[in-house]
Amino acid sequence: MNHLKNIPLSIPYKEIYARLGYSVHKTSLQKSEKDRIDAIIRDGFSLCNFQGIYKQVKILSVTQKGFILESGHEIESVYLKDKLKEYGSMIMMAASAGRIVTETVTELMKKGDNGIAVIYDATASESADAVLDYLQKHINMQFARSGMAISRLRYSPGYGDIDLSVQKIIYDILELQDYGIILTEYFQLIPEKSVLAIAGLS
Amino acid sequence: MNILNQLLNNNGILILDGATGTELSERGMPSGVSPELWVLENPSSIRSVQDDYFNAGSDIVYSCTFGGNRIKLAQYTDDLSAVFDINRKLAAISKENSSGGLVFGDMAPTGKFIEPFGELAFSEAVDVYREQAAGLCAGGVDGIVIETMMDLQETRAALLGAKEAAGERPVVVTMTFDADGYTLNGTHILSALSIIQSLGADAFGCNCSTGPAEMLELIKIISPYSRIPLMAKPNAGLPKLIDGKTVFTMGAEEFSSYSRQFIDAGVSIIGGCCGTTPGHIEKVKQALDNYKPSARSEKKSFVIGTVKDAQVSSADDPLLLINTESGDKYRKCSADELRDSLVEFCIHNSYIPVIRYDNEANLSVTLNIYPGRALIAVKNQNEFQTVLPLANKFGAVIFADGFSPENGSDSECLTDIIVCCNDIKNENYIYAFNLSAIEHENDRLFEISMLYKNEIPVLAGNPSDDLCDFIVAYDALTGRDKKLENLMSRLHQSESKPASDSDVEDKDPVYMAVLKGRDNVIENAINDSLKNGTAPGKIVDEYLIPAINVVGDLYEKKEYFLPQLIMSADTMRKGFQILEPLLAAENSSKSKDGLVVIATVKGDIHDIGKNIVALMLRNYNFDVIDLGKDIDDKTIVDAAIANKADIIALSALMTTTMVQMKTVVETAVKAGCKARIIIGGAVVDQNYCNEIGADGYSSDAMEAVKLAQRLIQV
Amino acid sequence: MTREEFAQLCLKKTVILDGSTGIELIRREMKVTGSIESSILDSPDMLNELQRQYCEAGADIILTPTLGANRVKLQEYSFDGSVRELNRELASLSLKTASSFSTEVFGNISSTGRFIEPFGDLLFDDAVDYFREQAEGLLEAGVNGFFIETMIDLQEARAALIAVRELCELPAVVCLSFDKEGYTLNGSSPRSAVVSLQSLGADAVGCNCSTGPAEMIPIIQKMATCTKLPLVVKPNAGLPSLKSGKTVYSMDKNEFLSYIPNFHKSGVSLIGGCCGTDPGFINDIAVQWSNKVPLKRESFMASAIASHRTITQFGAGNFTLIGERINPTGKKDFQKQLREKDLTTIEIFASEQQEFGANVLDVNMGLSGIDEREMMLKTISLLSRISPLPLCIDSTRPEVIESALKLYPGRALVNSISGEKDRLEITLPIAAKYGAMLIILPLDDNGIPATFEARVQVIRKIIDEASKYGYTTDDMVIDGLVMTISSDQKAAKTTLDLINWCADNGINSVCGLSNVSFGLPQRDIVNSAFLALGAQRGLTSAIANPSSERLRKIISSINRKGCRI
Repeated sequence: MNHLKNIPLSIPYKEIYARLGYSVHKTSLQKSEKDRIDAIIRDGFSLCNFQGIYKQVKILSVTQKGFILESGHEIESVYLKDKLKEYGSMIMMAASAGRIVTETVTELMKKGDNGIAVIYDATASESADAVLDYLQKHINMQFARSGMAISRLRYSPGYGDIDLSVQKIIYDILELQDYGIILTEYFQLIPEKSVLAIAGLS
Repeated sequence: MNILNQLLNNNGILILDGATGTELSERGMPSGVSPELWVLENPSSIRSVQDDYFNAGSDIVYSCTFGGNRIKLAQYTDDLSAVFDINRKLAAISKENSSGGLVFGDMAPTGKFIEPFGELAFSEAVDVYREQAAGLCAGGVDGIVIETMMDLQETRAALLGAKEAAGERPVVVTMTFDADGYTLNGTHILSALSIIQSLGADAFGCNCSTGPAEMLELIKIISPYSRIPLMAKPNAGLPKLIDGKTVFTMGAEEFSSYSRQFIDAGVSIIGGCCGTTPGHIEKVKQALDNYKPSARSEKKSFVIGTVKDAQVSSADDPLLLINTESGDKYRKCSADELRDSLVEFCIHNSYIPVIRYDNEANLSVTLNIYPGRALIAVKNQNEFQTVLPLANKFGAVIFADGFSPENGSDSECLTDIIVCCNDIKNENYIYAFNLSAIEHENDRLFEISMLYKNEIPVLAGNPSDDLCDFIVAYDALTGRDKKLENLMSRLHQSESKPASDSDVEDKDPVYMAVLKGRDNVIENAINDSLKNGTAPGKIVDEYLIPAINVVGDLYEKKEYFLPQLIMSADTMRKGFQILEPLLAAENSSKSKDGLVVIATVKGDIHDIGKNIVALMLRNYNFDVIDLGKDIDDKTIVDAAIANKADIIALSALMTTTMVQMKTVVETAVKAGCKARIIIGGAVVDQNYCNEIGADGYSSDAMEAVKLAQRLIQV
Repeated sequence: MTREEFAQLCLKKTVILDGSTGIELIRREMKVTGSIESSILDSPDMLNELQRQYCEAGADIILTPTLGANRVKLQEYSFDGSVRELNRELASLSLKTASSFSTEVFGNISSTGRFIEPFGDLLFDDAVDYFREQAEGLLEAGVNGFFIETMIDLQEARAALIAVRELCELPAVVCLSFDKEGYTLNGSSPRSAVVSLQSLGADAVGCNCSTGPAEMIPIIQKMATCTKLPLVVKPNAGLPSLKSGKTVYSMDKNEFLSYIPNFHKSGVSLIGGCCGTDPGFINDIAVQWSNKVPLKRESFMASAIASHRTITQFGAGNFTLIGERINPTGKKDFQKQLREKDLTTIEIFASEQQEFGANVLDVNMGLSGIDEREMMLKTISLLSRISPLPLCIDSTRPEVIESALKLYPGRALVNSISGEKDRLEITLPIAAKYGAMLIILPLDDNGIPATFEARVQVIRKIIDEASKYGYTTDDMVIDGLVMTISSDQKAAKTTLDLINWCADNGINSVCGLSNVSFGLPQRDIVNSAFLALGAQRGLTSAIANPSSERLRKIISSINRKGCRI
């Protein structure tokens, strides 16, 4: 199990703007407006407390429907099987931007500062994603010397035919309750800006 | 002089080994075991590998102890008291076999992150590495190599630990950088060089992660600033995934074609990493036989490394401003303050601390743990003498504030000392020019040009904006700002005026406030408008509503994106809230177009999208009752009936909760509720809407408004 | 005698001149009908007697009695003969007398009494013609040199000297008359006079008449600071007063003599007397001073240019700022005005630039659709009258430069001489004729050399060529030729290296600052920064817009430190 806190992330401005619907060709944004939004993004970013957790899990066997892992878990997803069957192990990853940013967003919306809230929200989401990017790079470096490499892409429950319930498998393997992350019965993560993913390790 | 420098003086170039892991696998090492423990059982394997490398031309081989630190070994064995011995034995195996060739004890990452980036205590990390180094030295290694380090703090711990055990033996460091020159944690290679060389490493360089072409570029970055020998141990190209295995495909011929370029770039210790074989090393040796590098010009330089980017200066770089008073790069603090705010200094920002010296003990503790080169400000000769050994040990920079240390330093002094005076005294001193030495404020602009004449790289003090403008110009004029980048960005910025809204000056301020989303001015704008006698209803009809309509159109045309839409909506909302009581008093409140009950369905706690839809509906003259999130079907339907809602709006963002929407539809039908039901959320679409029998689907807030307006008409 | 011999003479001994001629003859009651000159022709014996006495008294040089023998003065007496003839005849008398002695005879040319343009209505060329007429006659008679004296202003002295120099290479001495405040009637200053006249080819300069010896001492002292040329004094014997219907001068010869030690201390080489002096004066002077060697003057202001009122010296401690604004390039309104021959903007630019600290004004009238020469002359005339600052004549056309230099009542700076063939062959000789100071452009027909070494080569070539005309590096200011760093990042460094070389070799340098920042934002900052860097390397002047506050700040910092070659 590997847990990283205080992750040194740089603000993913481009991704945040894209998520908010910014179009280079169409959106008309003056410099002063952009400066204002950038400042709000920075504020939102500073409210985030980034954490990253990952663990390597050997693939015991590849079945018709998916995988059986060394941990005993079975993942049913033809899509995932297709993508990761070549790999010997999986890496389970989790990233979170922390509680505070989400709580602040709620407060802001109550006050009627929805514009700021929306920007904070996008910032936290994209940044949580960036934490996963970081984890992948980090893992690559860790394993490189041993001749192993992580898959370029990662896959989250809710995409393709990877059922949302796979959240629970990842959650259990990573023992995320130890890191203050909750999974609801509807497989919703709390804090809201948390994200789980699976990658392959050659 | 240690053995490394002796050898370099004699030979000029030293050749390291190549990859060991694959070689051991070929000699029977199974996968998944600890190489260290396996080799202990099968020593002939490593002897054979190292023989091959020595024969191929290696001057130095690494002991097989990459994972031989206590933390890594803990994965394979419980007996951690044996760690010292394991290393000793492995070192001895290599050294006894070497017949005079050199063996360096290999140390590498523990896999854990060290405070403040992770949980492992710094002192513990130092202990781990000291332990390993001691074992290696006891086994007879000629030096210690710390390699494949990805994290600056861990490298520091390893270097400090190794130096404590190594005695006279050289300790060299290679780190792993991506092709852009950054470690995983964002430490730039120049920073790493600066910190590691000032911490007393005997050589520095890169290994792994990149092939020779990319690594060569990295070497070129650091070469002008390096005061110690440079090392390069690249992979055999970039890895490819073939049949589930990572394979390095660059052959020995191609690999060695870079060797001379490395030497020309300044490397004197060269080898190979993943994917290289004795064959590669042999070719390298051939390429470098009798090769003499072209003479490198020594350039006076000054680099302050941080955990991110370095502050760099030399006669060829822009003037380095050390603004110890204010500014975004340097922060004054006490040793304690720095220790307590490491996260703020190193992670949230990238400040270079200027530590006000107060006492030795806490300075020592702080410098030990601070991952970078700190500036220590001392006020007199006494303080200077006290701080000097600490600064040397931890590679800090002494800032002699207001006086000039008399003693020339000896060759053991690794510290950079900023001396605030105009005279050049000693090679090891880096001179800064102290701004306060010039009395006349006006004269500063002119006097600073003297720095350029004397090629002084650093200016310490609090320069005014005017002076900073001049410095940017001086840098450009003297060729220190290549491509005029700094000049263009600083001077261009202050010249261009922010686009003013003067093109629409004739539009009403209330209208403009909504159009531009300026919620901080709407209150004043409305009050002014009221004072001028405009009726509240008119403000709503002629300014607020037309403005938000325009905003909606702009959003649909994608000329506005989401934040602009919402900020305008917020502004409109705030404006409306100011006017609402006045409208009620006047009895000129317009009747609403309709009433909407909105909620996020049961089990789902996403509500941002829902809140925005509510906001927009209100702005477009709907009454909205927002029930909140995680609301069950009964509550929703009851509220709709009780309030005679025209529309029920439902939001769900997960596949697991969207089914609740179907439930609401069913419950509403059963209860005879007449309200139209519309749905939204990333997981749903028009098909799902049709499937569950809802009345409409909208993909965003504006569409929701349009949808609601349409449904009301019918 | 040759100019060289004259120079040697002035170094070896104190040269004794004569005393009053015309006034003394009148005192001796010579019969006067019409002009003094024609009266002398009627009484040649009296002249001969007087001049013989001077020779016996020990005069090394006597002057021909042709003080008023120019067309203008003679016209007052309705003279309708040949001016040239008259001068020749009069000169012959002196020559005959002097032939029995070892005394030299210098042709005396003096004031027309009329002010010459731009200060008056007499055209410069006409004035030169009048003086030439005289000089031709004197030359024909066989004079050994020329003595231009009692000139009421610098312009007159120039015209006479130019006339003489166009005719011959004999020694020419020039004296002006100063009032007791130390200025000519027109406000020309002694230093301006000296700087201008020595560059035109005078062999000695000084003052005569108008005041007594006491008042001349400070004037001579001022002159001594700016020239290595021999200095001349020919004072009156004090001030005149009317006594019993006769003009009497206040000093006797003893009193007159008492002033000579001061003159000697000030470095004077040639001493004589003017109104109120006689052979007795000269005798005593000769006895006491003839064998005294004039004091050597060690230092003097080199590298100076002058308007008729002030001088500006390059590299002497203060930075020299050449104001660039009088140039129609890029100034639409100004262009329009010039086409209408309206000089209003020029006046404004001149006074503003001076107010902001310019030491020299660059004048450029290059604009299509106007007569450059005409406008240049008009501008020079205007500026000579309203501005005390020396001018820099900025043109690419030799004929413009020639006319400008001829008219300009001072010593101008010429912008510029390059290594191009036509500049060296045509413009350089013109500038040399008038002794103008030169801005040297290190480029030639092959273009602008990219490296500083190549520029130095061009400079050496130009220095070489210019030395043939008597120029030394003291007369030059080298333009660093800075190009914009927006297209070549090394441009500034190349120029700075060149400036450094100039400073190492003791040569003044100049830069057109605004060139360095073409195409960049905040040009004022970049220009001022470049000025600072240049000054650190030894730049002594710049062509720039003085309105920039930043620039002025830098210049005052430079001056606080001192700016010397």
